[in-house]
Order: sequence, then structure tokens, then C-alpha cells
Amino acid sequence: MRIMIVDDSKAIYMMVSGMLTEKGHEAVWAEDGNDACEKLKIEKVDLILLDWNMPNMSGPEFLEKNNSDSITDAPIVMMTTENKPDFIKKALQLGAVEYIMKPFTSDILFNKIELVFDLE
Amino acid sequence: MKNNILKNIIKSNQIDETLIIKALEIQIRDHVSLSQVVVDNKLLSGQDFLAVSLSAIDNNVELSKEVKRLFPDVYENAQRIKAKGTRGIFTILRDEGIVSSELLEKVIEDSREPEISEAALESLRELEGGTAILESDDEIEISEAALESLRELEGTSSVPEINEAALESLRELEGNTGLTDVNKDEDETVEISDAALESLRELGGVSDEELNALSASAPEKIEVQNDLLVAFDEKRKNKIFKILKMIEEACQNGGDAANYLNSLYREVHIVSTAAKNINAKFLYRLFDLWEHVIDRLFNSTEEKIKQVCQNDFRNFNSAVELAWEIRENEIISSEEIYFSNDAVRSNYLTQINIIKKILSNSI
Repeated sequence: MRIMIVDDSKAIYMMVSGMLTEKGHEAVWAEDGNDACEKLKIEKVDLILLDWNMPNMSGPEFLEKNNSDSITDAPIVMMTTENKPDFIKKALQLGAVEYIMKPFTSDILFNKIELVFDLE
Repeated sequence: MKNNILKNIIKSNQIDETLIIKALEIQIRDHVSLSQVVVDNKLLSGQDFLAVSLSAIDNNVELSKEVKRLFPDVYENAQRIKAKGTRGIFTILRDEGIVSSELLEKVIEDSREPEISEAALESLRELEGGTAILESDDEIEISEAALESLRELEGTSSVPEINEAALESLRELEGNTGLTDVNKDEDETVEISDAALESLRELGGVSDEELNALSASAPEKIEVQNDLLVAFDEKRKNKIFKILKMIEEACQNGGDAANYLNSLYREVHIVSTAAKNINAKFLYRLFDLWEHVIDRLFNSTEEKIKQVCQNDFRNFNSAVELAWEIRENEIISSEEIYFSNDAVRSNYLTQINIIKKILSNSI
């Protein structure tokens, strides 16, 4: 699978891309929502891992833009440090199909991906 | 294998030995320990880092060995990051301007021998950017990003908020045994519409066509029931079971069970909202209470989460089965008829009492 990691932290990108490439997936990096919008014009991805807090365009702002402008039809998993109902509900309401709390292990990441693709 | 190439290059005098020594010295100075990678990239939480450090002191071993033993995933990630951030000897020779790229490619090509071809190819790939090679600017960027992540990861959780529905559920559990209408306002709207339509019929003030148009615009129970059928379908039921299994496994294997609670909360919230929207009050109340249990767990310690998940979440499976039966019944009749059966009512109240016990004792 080709998976886009939208996160302003290069450390997070490197960690997550390491997990993905080890399992044979391809990782694409976008530094924020704006960058993701630009890259998605020319690149097709199968899944997006989207950070919540980012400069220029945050995760929720990206989801809102996707809802209005149909930027991508790839399922979007929200990544955030907040494990709170309000955040989970907002992500759900804006169209994220799964939710993952940072930091996470490889097992959790792939279980979440399994939940997205096996059952959604 | 790279040493063999180096030996060949030195032996053939293609690159001066002093230049190679200079590059090796830079490589050693560039060297970053695995523990430093773990810290710089904040691969462990503060608590985990402290635990590993203390364990390393106790066992009189290097920190990286304890990271490997206690957090193999983190160790592997650190290895990957370290490997990506470590410049090879040929990259240093090129990047530091010690030897030109053209000469490097030529000497590596010349030094190709059957037994070292793979290493030479690897070196060529490295020079061609085939593997991720971090420039010095990137390293600074990583440090800033790591700091940003650190700030992000250190965000404190706020005081738990209890939603109105959960409060209502608690009030009910504490006193009233009767189940109240969960969507009173919406019910009234539907009733007024139906009543208004009936009055209009009686009065004969409007044509049949206009009445039909008005009827069409009024909320239809079948349509809203479909919302529940769509929201709580076989896939979602299986997904909830799957998440519960993942939570169980995480508890058994010392994994991060809390990181599955958000998935569970999401699914339960979808079902409870759909149940609320069609005024399926028994189903709504059951899922709303479980939603409240998970809500409380978000603010609990890791130990408490594991305790509740291991001891009490098996009841969640029964609750989902019961909810599925209620949902199936929604298709053919109404909750009221279904719950007129004593056995059904008894099962439901047992489930509610279990949740009540979990809320009062465990969390």
C-alpha cells in the first residue's frame, strides 16, 4: 500500500515510515494539510495518517477541506496525542475512519490499518 | 565488505590513505548512540524512559540493551533511524569534498570483484541517493521536530467531562428505574406533524395532493430506522468484537490497551447516536452507558484500564449481542413490544446492573 503520513514532525514521519516500509508499504510524507493537498493532486495514496496539530493547515482543517473539495477518497486515520471523547467525536464527525493515539507501536498501527481495511 | 573495497582502493592508491583516515575520523565523530536516537526522537515516553534507565542501572547493562529487551519495537525504530542518519564512509568522502563524486564512482566501479560486488553496489546506491541519506540540515530539522513532538507528547489531559446523556444515565441508575425518553424534543416534532396532518384531513382544508406532499416531508420512522440499520450493521458489530479482542490481547501481552479504547469509543458512539436518533431508548441507554465507561477509562491509569478491560469487558461482548437482538427487533416491531418479554427485560436489566457496578466499583 501507498500510505501518506501528514505530520509536521519529521521524527514521527521517520518512525512511522520505518514501521510501514518494514512491512512492504510505501510511505509518502506531507508536512501539513496544505502540503498534503498539493501532493494529493499528483499522487494517489491508499491511506492517510493525519496529525491533528500542524502549522498552515491542521488535521481537522484538512478533513473539512476534503469534505468540501473532495481532495482524496483514501480513508483517513487521525493521529493525535489526545485520547479524549471530544477529539474522537470531532474526528468521526469530520470523516476520519479511525483514530490512533501517539506514541504507538507497530502492532497498534497495523491493527488500526486492519480495522480500516477489513471492516470499513 | 565495505572494508574490502576500502582495502582495494588504498592498495591501488586510487585515493590517498590520509584522505580515507580523515573520512573515518569524521565518521567516528558523527557517530550517534542508539540511546541518543531514542532520546532525540522521543521514541519513549518520559515514564518509559525513566523505567528503562532505572532497569539498566539495576541490571548494570547499557541503556540500549534495556531498550531492546523492554521495548523491542522502539529499539528497531531507533536502529532504523540511526541507520538512516549515519553517513557511510563514501558519503563522507563525497559530502566533505574530500574526493569528487566522479572519482568515487570510478574507484568503486574499479574495485568491483565478484565477492564484493554487493557491497560496491550498495555504496553506489548510497552515492546515488537510493538509500535515505540525511544531510546535516536534515539532522537539525529532526532535532527541532523531535522537540516539537516532545512538546506535543507532553500535553496534559484535562479534567474529564461527563456528557449530558451520561449524567442522565447516572441519574437514572442512582434513582429512577424507569427509562425516560431520550429524544423528547424530536418526538414532539414528529407528533405535531402527524397531529397537524390529521387535523388538516379532518378539516378538509387542503387537497389530497397537498396532504401527500406534507406527509412526504414529515419524518418517516422507516427512514430513521434505516439509519440504525446502516450504522449498526454486521460489519460494525464484527468490528466492535474485533476491537474487544485486540484490547484483550493487548492486556495479556502488556500492550497499549488504551490505544484501542478510542476505536471502541468511536464505534459505540456511532451506534448510540443512531439509536438516539430513532428513539430506540433501550439500545441507546445500553450503549450510552458503555460509552460512559470508556469515557471514564480515558482518564484512568494504565493499570486501572487493564484491570477493567480484563475483568469487565467480557460483559461488553454480551451487551453487543443483546444490542444486536434489540436492533434486529427494531426491524420487525418496536422496542416496547420486544421488552414486554420478561426474559428480555431481565437480561437487559442484568446488563445495566453490570455497567452500574463497573461504574461504581471499578473506575
